[in-house]
Amino acid sequence: MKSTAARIATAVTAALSLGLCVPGVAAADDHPAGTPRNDEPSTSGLRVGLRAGVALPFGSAFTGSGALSDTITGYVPLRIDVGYRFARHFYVGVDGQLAAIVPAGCASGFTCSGTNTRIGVMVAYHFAPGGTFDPHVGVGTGYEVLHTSRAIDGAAVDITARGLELLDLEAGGDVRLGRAWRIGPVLSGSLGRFTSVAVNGTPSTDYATALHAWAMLGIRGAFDL
Amino acid sequence: MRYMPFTKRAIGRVRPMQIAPLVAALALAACTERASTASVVTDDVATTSTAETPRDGRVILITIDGARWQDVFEGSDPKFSGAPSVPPEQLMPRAHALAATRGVALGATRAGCGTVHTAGASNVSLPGYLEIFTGHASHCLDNACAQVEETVFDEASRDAQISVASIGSWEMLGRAVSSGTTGVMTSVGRDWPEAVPVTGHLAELVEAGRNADPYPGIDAYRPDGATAAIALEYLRVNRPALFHIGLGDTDELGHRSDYAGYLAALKQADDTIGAVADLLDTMDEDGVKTTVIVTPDHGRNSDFRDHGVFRPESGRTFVLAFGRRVAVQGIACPSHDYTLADIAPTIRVLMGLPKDRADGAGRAIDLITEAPK
Repeated sequence: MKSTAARIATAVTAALSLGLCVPGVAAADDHPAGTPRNDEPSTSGLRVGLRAGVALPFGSAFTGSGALSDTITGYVPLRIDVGYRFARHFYVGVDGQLAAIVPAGCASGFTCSGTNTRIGVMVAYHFAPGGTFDPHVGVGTGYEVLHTSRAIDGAAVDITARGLELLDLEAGGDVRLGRAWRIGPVLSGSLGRFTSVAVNGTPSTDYATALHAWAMLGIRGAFDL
Repeated sequence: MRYMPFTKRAIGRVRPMQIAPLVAALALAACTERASTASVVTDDVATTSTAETPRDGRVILITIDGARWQDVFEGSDPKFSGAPSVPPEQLMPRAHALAATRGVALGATRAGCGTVHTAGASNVSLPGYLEIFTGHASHCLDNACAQVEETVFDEASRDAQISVASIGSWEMLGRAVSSGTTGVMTSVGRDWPEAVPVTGHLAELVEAGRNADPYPGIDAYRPDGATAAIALEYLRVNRPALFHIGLGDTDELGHRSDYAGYLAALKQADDTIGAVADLLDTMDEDGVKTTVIVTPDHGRNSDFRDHGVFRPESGRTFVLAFGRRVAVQGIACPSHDYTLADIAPTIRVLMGLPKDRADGAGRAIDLITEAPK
C-alpha cells in the first residue's frame, strides 16, 4: 500500500510530466517497474551536491542604497546541498552557500571585499532520474547575509545586510556519470529582501526595504549515497 | 530627482537632543540677543578652551547638497567633464577668497591632515541633514527618515528666543531642520508658511519660486536660483540670528549625471555664498557678529552620479567657514577628522547655546570657534 506522501508524489509527478511537456525526456526514463538497469540510481536515498558558478545582482539592497550592481559586480559561490531523493523524481534538501563578492566601483585607494552567505531549503523535480541526461527544476527559499567591506587608510566601512530569500528558482540538467555521480549546468535565480542592515556593527531598520535578486549560472556535481 | 523615492515611512527615530538642566538660566541670558560678549560663561554653555562664549553670536548655515570636496579643493575632474580641469579658485572664487582672507576651509587632502565626513556613514541626504542639525550620527539609511524630534535650530528658537529660519530647495529638508513645533520659520520646496506673511519684493520672489520650473528637481522642488533669491531677501529684511540656506541643484544634477550642470550649480552656490558675504557687509553689527558655515550633506561616489552607504567615498565632505570668530587659516590642516555631527555643536558655541551632553554628541569645530582674541 502506498503512503499518502507517495500518492501525492505520484500525482504531482504525473502532473509535472504532463504540464511541463517533456514527454520525450519522461519517456526515456520510463521502463517497466521492477526491472531497473544496472546503473539505475535507487529511487530514494541521500544526495550530496556541490556547485560553483557566478552570480549577478539586480535591484537594490534597500531603496536608498543605489543599485547593487553599482557596488557589486557579482559573486562566486560555493554551495553545498544535502537532501533526500524520494518517489523517484523528487528531491528535498537543505543548502548552504559561501560566496566571495566581486566588488564594483571600488574607489581609488580603497580595498573592497565582501561575502554572500545563505542557507536554504529546496524541493526539486527530476524529469529523468534514470536517464543519461536528467533535467530538473526546483523551488526553494532561504536566508541571506550580504557583507561588504570597503577600507582605506586602516578605516573600514563594513555593511552587513540580512533578510529572507523569498524565492529561489532553479533549472538544470544532470549528466549521469554512472550510478551515483552526476554533473551538469544549473541556472538559478533568487529574489530577496534585506530587513536588517548594520553599518559598522550598528544595526538599522530605519530605511525602506527593496527587492533584490541574484541570477546565477553554475555547474553542480552530485553524489548519491 | 532625489536618490530615492519616499515609498515607505521610516520606523526609526532620531535621538532627541538632551537639553541641559540650566536651560532656564541660559534662556534668560540668551534673551539678550545682542548683549555684550562679556556674558558669564558657565560650564553648561557650549564653549571651547580659548574663546569666550558670545551670547549674541549669529550664524548662517549654507548647505550645498551633494557637492564634492574634490571639486572644491582640487578643481573639476576631466574624467567627468571631458575638458581640462578648472582650478578650484575658478569654480568657487568667492568661497576660496572668503576662506583665504576671512576664514577656514576644512576637508582638503593633505598629508597628515584630518578630513570631514558623515558621522553615520549613510551618505544620503536626509541622514546627512539630520546629523548637521542634531549634532548626532544618524542611523537612518535613506530619505525616509522620521521627522526629527529636536534640533539645534529648535533649541535656539524655543529656549534662546531668537529668530531662526530655514529656506531650502528640497521639500524634504523640513524633516531635518526642525520638529516643526518651536517657531522655526521653515520654507522648503515651494512651500511658504501661511503664518509668515510676506510683502513687497520678498512676496514677489516667493510667488516666483512657487511657480518656478522644478528642474533640476521634480515635483515640489524649488530650484536654487529661486531659493537663493528668496533667502537673500529674507536675510536682508528679517535678519534672522540663526539662518539656514539649503541649496540642492548640485545633487539633483549629479543624479542626472550632468557634471557640467553640476559645476554650474556649484558656481551658483558660490555666487550665493558671495552674496551672503556682501549682504553681511552691509548689515553693520549684525553682519560683524555673523559666522557663515558652508557644508554639503554628503559627497559623491567615485563615479560622480550617486552616493550612499555602500560607497564610503561618498561620505567625505568639507566645511568652509568665515566670520569674526573664525581664525583665518585658509585651507587648513586639522589634526583630526571632523564629521557633520560637529556642525551643530559648533553652532552652539557660536551662539552660546548649552552644550549637548548626550552620549554621541559631536564636538565643536575648534578651528571655527577658537579665533585668536
